[in-house]
Amino acid sequence: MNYYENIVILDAALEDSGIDAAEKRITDLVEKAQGEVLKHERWGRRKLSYIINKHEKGYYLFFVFKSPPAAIKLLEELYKVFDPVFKFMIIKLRKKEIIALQNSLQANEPKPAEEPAPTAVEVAVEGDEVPSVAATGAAE
Amino acid sequence: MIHKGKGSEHVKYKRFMRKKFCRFCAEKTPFIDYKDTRTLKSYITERGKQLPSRMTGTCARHQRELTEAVKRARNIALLSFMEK
Repeated sequence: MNYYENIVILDAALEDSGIDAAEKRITDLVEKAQGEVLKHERWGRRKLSYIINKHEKGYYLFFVFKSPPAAIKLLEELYKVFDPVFKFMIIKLRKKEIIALQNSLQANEPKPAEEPAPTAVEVAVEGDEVPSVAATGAAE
Repeated sequence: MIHKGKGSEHVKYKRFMRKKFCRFCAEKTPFIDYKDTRTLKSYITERGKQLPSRMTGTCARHQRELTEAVKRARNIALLSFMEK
């Protein structure tokens, strides 16, 4: 089992129901391949830094999951034929990134962890980072 | 005596420069996140090129990690390859 991070850019013209469906399809596929989705976020519609396939805007989805390596091949095959997705990136997490991820996941759980202070700080940083990124995207 | 005078003169003309240091080492960042575009943007030029470590003072290891992060961010359109 490896930890992976996945960003998917969907067509911004897609309606919310379409985005729900796409998200469900991706999580289903990961779970079918004996994986487990640990985190999923919606960054929303953002302006792309450069034009990709004539798209100027995209809807960003962000996943973190734990799965066997075979699942990645299946995901990549899905993205190739899945129309709303026009760009994706899957990254295998390294040791230090996994540790940070586990800390943040522990902080989200109600369980009182041994060291709540540093993890809480991390969550706060993450929390204010994402909307600010979205805000800059909207301003541009 | 002569040498001493010369030396002090030389110091006089030396321009004041604050010592550069690696921010990631100082802050003990566990890893450089490619999603954190605000940090990455301070290490690229207005044109979108990455700044050399001799300008920013980043250490060799973190410069390498930074390069990877910038490339990942560019790939997923969080940063641009070139501005205009």
